[in-house]
Amino acid sequence: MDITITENRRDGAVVVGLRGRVHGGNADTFEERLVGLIEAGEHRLALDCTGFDYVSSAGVRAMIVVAKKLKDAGGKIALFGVNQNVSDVLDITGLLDIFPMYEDEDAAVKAVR
Amino acid sequence: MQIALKNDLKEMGRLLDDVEGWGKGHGLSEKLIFDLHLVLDEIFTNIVHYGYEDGAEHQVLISMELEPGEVRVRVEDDAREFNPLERPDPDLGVPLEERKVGGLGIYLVRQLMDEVQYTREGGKNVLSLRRSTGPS
Repeated sequence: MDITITENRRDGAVVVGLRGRVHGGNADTFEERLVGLIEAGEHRLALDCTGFDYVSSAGVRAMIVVAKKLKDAGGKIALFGVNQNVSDVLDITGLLDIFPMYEDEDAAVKAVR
Repeated sequence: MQIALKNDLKEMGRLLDDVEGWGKGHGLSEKLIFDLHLVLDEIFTNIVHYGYEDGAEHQVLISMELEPGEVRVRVEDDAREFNPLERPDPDLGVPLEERKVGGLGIYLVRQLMDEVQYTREGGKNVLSLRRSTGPS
């Protein structure tokens, strides 16, 4: 019932692996981790969502904060491997434009270069 | 199904596991179970975050029933009076810089359920929700 976050650096970007769920009980941790990366100077983020199977509005709020910080830093973000349920939540909350989705890691990393 | 939760987000895991077990046991679609998860997550999170100021332990009662063609959910809490349906919808069309981070939880609930009603009964907030089990 939690989120596991991994980082893998390649081609000037960080591939952030998200496995599990982001909800009201752990969205703060999720946000802190991603904001920490941005503040450490990582401004090209590709989120691997293949194991990311649930996000609530708390997670969406955290994603908005992350997107804003990245934009202020002149950075980019891309998602890949997003399942339909998570994509539906991002659609309902009007975030599909802010979080472009790609078919695989290579395409996402290329998109944020 | 009826579950009583303490007003503590640590209870979220138990809530979502029970919803999943109940949903699978009744043969609900994976999509519907996901949506019910999300709706109850949002409502329970709001109650825990905003409902109480006394630092004491309270109970939140959640019940779910499967009727012909629909799921009915009821959430009852003894928090201060609060009708989440009175909050305006967030503005989703503004540029990122102007996006506010609030108001999304109840907005999602209203988008995902077919009917949401609030009443105040005997000192309790009661949210009654319905969702068709047919194709959406």
